[in-house]
Amino acid sequence: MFDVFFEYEFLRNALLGTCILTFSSVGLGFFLHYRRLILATDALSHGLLPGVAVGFWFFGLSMTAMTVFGFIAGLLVVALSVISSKWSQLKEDSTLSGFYILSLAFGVFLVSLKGSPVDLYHFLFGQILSITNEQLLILSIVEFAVLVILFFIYKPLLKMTIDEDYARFLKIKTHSIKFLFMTLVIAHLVVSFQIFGTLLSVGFLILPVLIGQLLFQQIHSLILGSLVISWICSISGLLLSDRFDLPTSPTLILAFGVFFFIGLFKKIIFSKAQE
Amino acid sequence: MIQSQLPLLDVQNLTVTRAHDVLLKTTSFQIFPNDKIALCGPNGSGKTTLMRSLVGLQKHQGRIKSNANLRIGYLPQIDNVDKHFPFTVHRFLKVYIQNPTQEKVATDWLQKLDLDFLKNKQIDELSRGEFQKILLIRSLLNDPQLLILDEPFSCLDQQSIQLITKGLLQKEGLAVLISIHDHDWIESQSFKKMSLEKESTPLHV
Repeated sequence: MFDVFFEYEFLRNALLGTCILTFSSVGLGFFLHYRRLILATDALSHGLLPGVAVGFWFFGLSMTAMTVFGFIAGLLVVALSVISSKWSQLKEDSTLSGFYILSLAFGVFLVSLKGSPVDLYHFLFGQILSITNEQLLILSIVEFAVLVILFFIYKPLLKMTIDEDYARFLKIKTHSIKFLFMTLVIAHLVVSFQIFGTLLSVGFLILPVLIGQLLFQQIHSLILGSLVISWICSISGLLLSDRFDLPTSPTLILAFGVFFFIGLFKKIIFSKAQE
Repeated sequence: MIQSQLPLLDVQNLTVTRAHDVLLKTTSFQIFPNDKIALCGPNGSGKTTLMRSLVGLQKHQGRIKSNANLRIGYLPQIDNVDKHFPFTVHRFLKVYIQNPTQEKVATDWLQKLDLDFLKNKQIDELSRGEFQKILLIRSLLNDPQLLILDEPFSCLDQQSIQLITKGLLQKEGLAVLISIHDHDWIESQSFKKMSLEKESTPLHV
């Protein structure tokens, strides 16, 4: 059953890619989930568009150029939203929503000025079954860097996520940590968005941790469980899509759907039993 | 009484404003080691604002001078903790524990407050009073010289209040600033009264 992964390079790359993607998706997704920033992240992934468009404008279909400019656009959106939230006392997800939609509009504006070749859309929305070795390398480097930095800010970030006021009392530089964390999210998004597309990159951020929260009660089992579920869904999604000729990205996400409903069912039964 | 020691906190003309409203305006005051001070005043008089200013959470005008190494323990009035976090009580405290001494402080206080049985309970399963006591333990981890407690007794039963008062607040050498509405308690514990008025503001110690 698994020999297709040895036989076909495109399936092997897709599996390797999703496995690499899961580590940082679960790590970042955990904090995004508890910081109530999951949907804002979906928004943010679209806010990268003007940067990607500028990269395309000047350098054509170069993944490196579009990644770098997309990253800069994302940083600008986050910096503006963090700073304006600090000054205006508005919630960060509100300012982020404002800046992302402006950024998206500006991106669409730029793309329509230049014309919108189909290739760019492929590039913007990813192709899981055509991941190249170069893309795998870029993904590995970026995701490894994301995980290393996340490891170093884990403790202060955890304290901030549990109780931000108390973290400030403990003299944690909350605005800097927040900005650094969002920088990691952008770096992750800008790469995963181009390789896997919006459905998979955002789906991998949202679903594993959400399912983990439904199925597990402790932080360590939640993170480990989310990782294992992600791998199971990646393998089964890819196998099913190959065997029955199904669209790959939706099949993968729908595999998560099975666990999501199991988790919901468990939670409902558990709550009823407690009543 | 003339104090021979240096103050832990020296507060000069503290003012907090929002837009054009003055939220808090105090005359100068100092807090010395072993001071036991009860902060009184009606709702909205600025007790929480004053405490948040003292612990560095509130922008203010005026000067708050303290030793750089001063260890403050702080219990906020409203806890902002996300209780859906996947944590047991033990794991929650562990996030804030930095060394074996602090681990021992947590263990000791869990025993003293009869909370040992909660150690493996999820934090979202605790009552408000139980969680209040866990947050109090969190404020004691750094062995504070000054304890700032914002309405710590609001959810606690009499037995817990007595236990905390006798076992902690009356401890020799520890300075305590506590906001509280119970005047009988203040008098019975011989705490000095510091009053804030609603329309901001003279401060009487």
